[in-house]
Amino acid sequence: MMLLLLQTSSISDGLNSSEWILALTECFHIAAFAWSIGMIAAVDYKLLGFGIQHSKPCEVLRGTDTWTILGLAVVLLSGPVLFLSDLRMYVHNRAFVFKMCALAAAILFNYTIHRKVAQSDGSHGVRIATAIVSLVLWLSVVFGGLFIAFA
Amino acid sequence: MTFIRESGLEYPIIMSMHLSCIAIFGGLIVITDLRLLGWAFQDKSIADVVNGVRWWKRVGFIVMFAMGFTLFGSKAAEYYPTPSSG
Repeated sequence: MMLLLLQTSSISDGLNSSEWILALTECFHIAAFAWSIGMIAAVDYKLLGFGIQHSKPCEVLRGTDTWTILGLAVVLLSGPVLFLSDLRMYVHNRAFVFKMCALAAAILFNYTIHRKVAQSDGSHGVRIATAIVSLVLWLSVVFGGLFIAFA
Repeated sequence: MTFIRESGLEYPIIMSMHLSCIAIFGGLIVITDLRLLGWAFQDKSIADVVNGVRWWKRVGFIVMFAMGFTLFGSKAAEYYPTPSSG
């Protein structure tokens, strides 16, 4: 009932009344995702032993932190707009549910374990494992997001 | 190419890989640009930032281009008249 109310709300109607609003929101959503994941991947590359020269993972983290948050903020603001535009489709879409779970896990991992490992002088094995888990989680979000249209 | 167009999983998988490359390698271009603008990594030289990510950007570009071309080839007639593809 709640979903039905939201679906037929003026917000939803407004979003669906213009094809440009949704298209632009989706562009911002995807671009912000690419932006954020790229920033996080830069830290992951450093944890793997590649990337920006003469720097430590904690320095790369410090350099990208603000920009990552900025990108994630745009993602988290534009996402609900897209969600409200076709709410009933999204809640019944398995790829969307997978994407949301992956996104929650990726953000949680990024601001807990990933951050802690990047800031510490952990063993090489721990750094590599953390970078791989981080990349897999964020790529899962991309795959989940794209499969929404095909699920 | 017809095989990709008519497949259930291959097309979205290739498209996901295309987008993933844009994300995890395209972000490196943003990092380079932010350094050139002086908005990030100010304590690192431009050469350190640019040289450190150069090969990753090249690898990403090649994979992204290959995937993009495959996607385009599988639906060329559909993509060609689209203004955003040209």
